Amino acid sequence: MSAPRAFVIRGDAAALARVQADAVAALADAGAGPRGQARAGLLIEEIALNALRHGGAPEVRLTVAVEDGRARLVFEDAGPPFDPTAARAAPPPGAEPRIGGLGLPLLHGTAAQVAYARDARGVNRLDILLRGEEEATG
Amino acid sequence: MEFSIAAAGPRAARIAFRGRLDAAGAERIEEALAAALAREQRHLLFDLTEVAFVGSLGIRLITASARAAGRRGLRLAVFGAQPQVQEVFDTVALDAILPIAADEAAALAAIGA
Repeated sequence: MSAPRAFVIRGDAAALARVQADAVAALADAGAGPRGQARAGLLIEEIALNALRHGGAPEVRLTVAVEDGRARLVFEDAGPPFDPTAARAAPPPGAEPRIGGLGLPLLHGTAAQVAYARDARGVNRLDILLRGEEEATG
Repeated sequence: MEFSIAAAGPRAARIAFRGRLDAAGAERIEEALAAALAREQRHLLFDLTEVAFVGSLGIRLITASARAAGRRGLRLAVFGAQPQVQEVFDTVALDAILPIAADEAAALAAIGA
C-alpha cells in the first residue's frame, strides 16, 4: 500500500477543485491508473460537494492511497449521520437525496468495497476501495 | 474555464471550452452557457479538445445542455475528449445519453447536421 495522503476540503467549489486535483495527482504518483484516477476524481467531487452542501458538514477530511493498483478513498465529516451503503433505494418522497442522481450509481458502480461507520465522536467515515483498472464500471 | 461559440457548418454551432470543467469551472460558466445556448437555433457541438478535466458537475452541465437542446428540437454531441476525460465519460456511460465523437466531422455526422 502506498503511504496515505491526507487532505482537508472546506470552502467553495474552487477550494474543492484544488484538493480534487491534488488528490488525483497523489493517486497517480502512487500508481493508480487512468481509470482509477477518473473514478476517484468523480467520487471526490460528488461526495465532498454533497457532504458540504447537503449534509451540512463544515469540512471533509479525505485520505487517499493505492493498494495493489486500486485507489482507496476515505472520507470523514462531522455532518448528520448518512450511510450511502444503505441508500441504494430511492429517498422518501419529498426528501432531498444527499448524494444525488449521479452519485449513488457512481459509487456502487465503481467501488469494489464500500464501508460506512459513524464513530463515537459523531464522525461519518466512508471507506471506498475502487475497482481495479481492468474491472469495468458496473 | 471559458467557452466561445463559432459556426460549424451551416446547421451547427461549435462551443469550444478551455480549462478544467471541475466544480469551480462548471459553476463559473453555468449561467452564461445556459443563456447562450437558449439563444441558439443551431445543433450543438461541444469541443472539449482543450479541456483537461471533467468532474461530476461538468457531466451534469453537459447532460443538462443536451436535455435543454432536445426540448427545443436540437441535438448535441461532444468531441475531442482527451484520454482522461474519455475515462470519465466511460465511467458514467455518457454515450448512452448523447453522441461522443473523436472529431468535429464525426460529431457533425452523429447529429446529422
